[in-house]
Amino acid sequence: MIWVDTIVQGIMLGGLYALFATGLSLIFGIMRLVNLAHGDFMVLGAFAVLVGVEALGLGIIASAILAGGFMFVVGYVLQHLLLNRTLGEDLLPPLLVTFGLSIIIQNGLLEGFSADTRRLKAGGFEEVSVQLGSVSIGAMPLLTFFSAVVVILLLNWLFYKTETGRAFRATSDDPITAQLMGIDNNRIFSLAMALAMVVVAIAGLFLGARATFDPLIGPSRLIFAFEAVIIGGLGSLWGTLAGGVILGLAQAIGAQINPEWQTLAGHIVFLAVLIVRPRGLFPRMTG
Amino acid sequence: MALLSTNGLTAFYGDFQALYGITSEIGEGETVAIIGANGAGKTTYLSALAGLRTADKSMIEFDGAPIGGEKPARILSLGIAMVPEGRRLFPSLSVEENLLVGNYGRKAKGPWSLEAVYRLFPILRERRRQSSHSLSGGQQQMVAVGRALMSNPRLLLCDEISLGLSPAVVKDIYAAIASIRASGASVIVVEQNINQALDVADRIYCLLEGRVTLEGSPAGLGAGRIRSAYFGG
Amino acid sequence: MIDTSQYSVEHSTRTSRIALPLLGLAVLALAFAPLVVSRSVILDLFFVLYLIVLAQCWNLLAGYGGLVSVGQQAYVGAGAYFTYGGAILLGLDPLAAIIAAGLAGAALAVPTALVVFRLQGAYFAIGTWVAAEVYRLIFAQWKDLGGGTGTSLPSSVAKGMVGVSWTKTALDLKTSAARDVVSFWLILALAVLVVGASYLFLRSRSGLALSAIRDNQAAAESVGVDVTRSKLAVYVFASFGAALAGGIIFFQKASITPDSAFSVIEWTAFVLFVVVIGGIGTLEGPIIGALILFGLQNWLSDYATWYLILLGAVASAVMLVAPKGIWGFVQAKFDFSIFPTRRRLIGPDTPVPDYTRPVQELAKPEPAGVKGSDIRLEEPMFDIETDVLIVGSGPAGGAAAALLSSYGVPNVMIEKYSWLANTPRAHITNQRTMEVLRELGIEQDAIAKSVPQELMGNNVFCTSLAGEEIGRLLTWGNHPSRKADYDLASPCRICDIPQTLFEPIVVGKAMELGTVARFKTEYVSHSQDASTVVATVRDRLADQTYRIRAKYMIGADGAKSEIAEHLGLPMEGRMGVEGSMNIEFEADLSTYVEHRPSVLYWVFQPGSNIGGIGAGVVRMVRPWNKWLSIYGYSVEDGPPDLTDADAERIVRQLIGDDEIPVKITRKSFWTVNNMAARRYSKGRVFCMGDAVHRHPPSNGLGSNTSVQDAYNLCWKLKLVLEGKAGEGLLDSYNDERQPVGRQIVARANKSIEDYGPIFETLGLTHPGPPEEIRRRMDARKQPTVEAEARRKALNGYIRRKSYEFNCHGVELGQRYVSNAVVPDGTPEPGYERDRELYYHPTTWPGAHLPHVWVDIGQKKVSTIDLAGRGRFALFTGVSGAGWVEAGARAQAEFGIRIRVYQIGPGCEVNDTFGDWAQASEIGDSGCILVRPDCHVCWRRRELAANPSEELVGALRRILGFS
Repeated sequence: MIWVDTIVQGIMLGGLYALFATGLSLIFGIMRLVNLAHGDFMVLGAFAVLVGVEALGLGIIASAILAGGFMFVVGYVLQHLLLNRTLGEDLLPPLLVTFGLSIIIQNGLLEGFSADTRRLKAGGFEEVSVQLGSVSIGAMPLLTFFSAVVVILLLNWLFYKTETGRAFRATSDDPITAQLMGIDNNRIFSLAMALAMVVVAIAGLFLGARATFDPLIGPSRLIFAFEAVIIGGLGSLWGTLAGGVILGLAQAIGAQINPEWQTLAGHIVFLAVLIVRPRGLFPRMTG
Repeated sequence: MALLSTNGLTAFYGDFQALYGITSEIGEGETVAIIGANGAGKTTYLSALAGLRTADKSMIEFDGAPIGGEKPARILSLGIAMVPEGRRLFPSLSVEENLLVGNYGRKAKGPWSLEAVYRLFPILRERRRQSSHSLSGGQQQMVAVGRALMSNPRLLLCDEISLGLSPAVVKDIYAAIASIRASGASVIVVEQNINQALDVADRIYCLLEGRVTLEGSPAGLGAGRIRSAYFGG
Repeated sequence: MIDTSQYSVEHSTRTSRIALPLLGLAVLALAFAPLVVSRSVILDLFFVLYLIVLAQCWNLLAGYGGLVSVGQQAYVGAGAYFTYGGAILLGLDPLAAIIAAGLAGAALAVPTALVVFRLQGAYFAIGTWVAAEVYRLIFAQWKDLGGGTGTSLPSSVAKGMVGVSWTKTALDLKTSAARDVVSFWLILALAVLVVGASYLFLRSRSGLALSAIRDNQAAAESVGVDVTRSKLAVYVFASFGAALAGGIIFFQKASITPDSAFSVIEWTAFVLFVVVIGGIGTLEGPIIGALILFGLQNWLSDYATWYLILLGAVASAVMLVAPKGIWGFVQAKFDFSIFPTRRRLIGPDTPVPDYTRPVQELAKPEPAGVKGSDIRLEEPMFDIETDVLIVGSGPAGGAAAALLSSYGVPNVMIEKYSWLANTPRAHITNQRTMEVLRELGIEQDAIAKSVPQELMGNNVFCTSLAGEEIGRLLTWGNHPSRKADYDLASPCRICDIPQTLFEPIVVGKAMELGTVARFKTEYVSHSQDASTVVATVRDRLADQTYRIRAKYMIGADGAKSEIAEHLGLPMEGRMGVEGSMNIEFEADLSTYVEHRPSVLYWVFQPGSNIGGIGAGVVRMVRPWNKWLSIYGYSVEDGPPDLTDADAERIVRQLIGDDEIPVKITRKSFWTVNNMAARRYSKGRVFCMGDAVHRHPPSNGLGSNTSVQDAYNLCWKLKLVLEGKAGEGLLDSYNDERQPVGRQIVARANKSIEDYGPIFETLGLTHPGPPEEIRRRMDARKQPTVEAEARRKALNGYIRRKSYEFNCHGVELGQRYVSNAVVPDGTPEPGYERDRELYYHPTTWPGAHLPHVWVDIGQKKVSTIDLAGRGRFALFTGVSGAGWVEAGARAQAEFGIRIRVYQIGPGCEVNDTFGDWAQASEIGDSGCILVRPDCHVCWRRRELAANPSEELVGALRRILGFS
């Protein structure tokens, strides 16, 4: 019985990790940029919601929408002014610049919000749980998972059903030829980063609502996101969801055996996947 | 008046000067072939027309307006579309999506639409849901041509569209070029295959080491002159 | 060309010669620093030094190995924990524990690499981070060392350490201060070790290989660098250094927690910024960066967070604005280097060529740069597919392309250089070559560009063009007694066409017929399996690498063939036997040559027998104003440093006229080679031309043999590609052409030796004053018995040169023995005359189809014209109706084309002159089967009982089906 509960918790946790990972996957997929500040952007998103709630006195939904807008602008501007300049064959510039951003965001947040741990309050919603047979599932984890699915559905719709999505994919395949179709790379990349930042803001919302956070937890969340992406296989958002769920399950089961092993169990599953299937479990075939 | 003209076009490929003052023109509805060995500057010439290479503004004129050095997106919006060398389809897009992305930057009225492209290359209709890299080389080339047509270009640039294709497929592709001409568009083909170029073109320019060594109508130029222009003999 | 003896390769620079001793002094001063400076200064220095160690290790990884890791904290932490484990749990002396920890860290790096090396680029970076996290979590489980909360190093451990007690007494310090001093000495030693080892390593060949990987992995692989091994070595070394540093750092700190030992900020972020700011990919950069970081940290010590923000911003800005960092900027500006790891070529003149890109030394040419806002099309996403890929557009490759295209076989030809031959090189174009051109329909084009046989053959032996003529030999079939041999042998005439004019005709025809030619495209490497050859090629203009997939590949890439090398074709003989130079010049020499027109004028002077091809040569390129001098040099001394003035001096010496206007147009150097491949092919790759037979130009056989190589192989490829012959047919290429290659290599080299006796007889073998030379040369003019013997000998030696210039049998007389020839049971016809000098036509299977003139209707054609063009020909006579039917049957059976000719009165072909009756060696009911390359592959003297069965049986063997 305890195991059924563990598995359900693991899957729900996986939803959170999938949310963490989606933005990372998106950015890598479109512009081959690995954003080492991804985790810190999620924390920034969480703080943005926090500001909405605590400083502006808004409701959590309104704050989240505001944070989403804020992150959209941050993403667009950052990509447009800074990150587009790092793209190229050399992988060191994007890596180093995003690492630099990571340090800057962490310390900026420390300066602005101190090192205290925070939590986003969802007005008691955290306490609600749903009874499914003999298993009770928290409403918040369920909502997280549901949000992950909705986000991925929306993104897939965007990618596969809209002209802008086609332009994203074309640019991702071959940015030079995409220009010949009249697609402006810089604009597309900036738009992609802005979009990814909205997802990051959503991830930040749940990051803050489901557990405590402080300015320095970004890197560890980046690692979870990264593991979910790799386990799932590059290039497919549903694969990322599956990767998140597998990671969540591994951590939940590890924690069930010994609470100290939660993170370690996730890492070990990740390394195992890497050894057995270096391209991930559900890679999309590309040319 | 010429639809497009280049006036002493110079261009670099990296530090290497690939074009040394190319003066050329193409009239409305005309088909011009650029021939020459690879390395002669043909692709650089087309790339410059498509905006992929820097050029002084006045070096290229389209429809009376200087366009040298404009961004590719801007040039496409004016009505110059390119079929790049090596086809360069988008592998993660289906055949139909590859075609549809062709008019992202220019939605002009004209003879070409998805339907018209499928009529030109019926096999693509059958394959429209397939991923573009599951196609044969010839079918890929059809997609590349169709994709460029989707913007209803006034001028179509074709770079080495026969490269790596079997002779039968080359024939089909060039048959399509003929119907594109018939629809009124001007066409510039870059070809290494001399005979192919002579068959299709109203006029040819022969490039050697970045310079025009010969121009004229195929009928007026003997095989000997073309060969020596081509080979620099 | 340059005299290589004047050059040397050096590592050092002027600055390095000054700076390195200074650095040594600085290290010495640091070692004595604890005597004079305070403990806090020692701790500052300790900080700087460990940053240098870690930065240098990371620099080696990322800057040289291209392994951008953000997980080196794994080894710092592991080294620290192992040190504590060794010292506390095992009771080791801390120094021993530190060294053991270093080794353990290195050992840990191996399995870690197995996992993280599966990731590329940025994902490798995060993968290393995850690995570090795993180690952090695992070490946090080490309950004996305090688990998650960590532990501290008991002071008893430090007290007992070797050196600590000595330091305490010597410097009069407390234990903790003495520990700091010892730690400082250790880290100083480690810093010297790491910097020094990196320096030596980068100067070594392995270091060069590493840089090559960074610059271009594919290129490095193609020149034989084991990429994975080199990367692993660097990863293990960097981890070893980090683990040692970790041990020393935490020995000094005296306490440890998993979070501090595995801190990504402390041990990776800082380190990364240090390297980037200082200058990645240089040994100086990390040192500069560490000093800057130390300065910043002291300056901003009260604003920890702002300090980090500033650091992140500065590093990002440096990366974007000056990606080579501060040291890179300095280096570019002042050409300054303390640790010169790059090699430079030092020569007698300035400016000094600086081969600063190490990968060049491993054979990668300079890629084209990218200019300003130009957008470069990336590598094509597609592979070119074709049936046959031909590498090289010289006589072999060009002929192969033209022939394959004429047979309708799709082919792609790539050529490394921008266009065809730029020097006249080969010129003698023999009858067999002309026959191939005739089949391709370009014989007349070639004749139009050629110098005809009549103007080729007054081979002059003289002391200079203006000087004494020692003798003359009518060559290339120009002697009346030989003219008939040449005329009778072929429908074509021998002629002289410089390669510069020959190649455009052949390649032009190939392209006209459909060959896709890609110039400035070089072969890089290839792989093959049972059905495909995939060649990686590089467009040198665009610096793009792409692949060409073909069913077969032809390696016609010349005497320096990379394909032959990559295939590992066994070679015999040696390269670079003698040195030779070509000096092209323009001069109107009509006065000296018009009365004795020739392509070659041989000049015998003291010294003109050194190196080269036997004697000095003045070769006609175009009559009579374009010329080429061939002059030897001793290969041991290397090519001389030849100025235009030197070249003109040599030319004038050969002409013997100081007044006549001479314009030097080009100089080039080459070597006389004596090498032949024992095998021509492997799998689906076939080599031909100079790739497999490398020899001097003597006898004028190189280009001709190359064309015949192509003529032999191409029809076989066509039939196999069409599925009409078994792959076994292709084996016959090697069996038939390899003996020819070996023969001509030997022949050409022998021809050089035959000049020796002439020099000896003339007394020119050793130098002396001019009058002495004159006296020796005139010795043969005396009315003495001794002089008569000398005259006779000289005459004989000159006549012997017919083996170089009238070697008709070697030119035309090949008889193939292979699976693609079916013997008819008759013994091989003998040679009535010298087999090298004279061509002996026969229809014996394996021999070339004899040429005779026959009539078809009103048209006079050669028997050679009836054969060829990618099809078999079957010749029979008036009574051979049975063979006509058999031919049709066989054609249907194999799906190949067989053209049957009945020759004789009343037949399609009329033997008007009666020559065929003589030459065919068969009766009127017999038959001769001729392959598409005009070689007889089977014959039957008389009609067989069952002609169809016999013909089909013979063809089955020829086509490799039995």
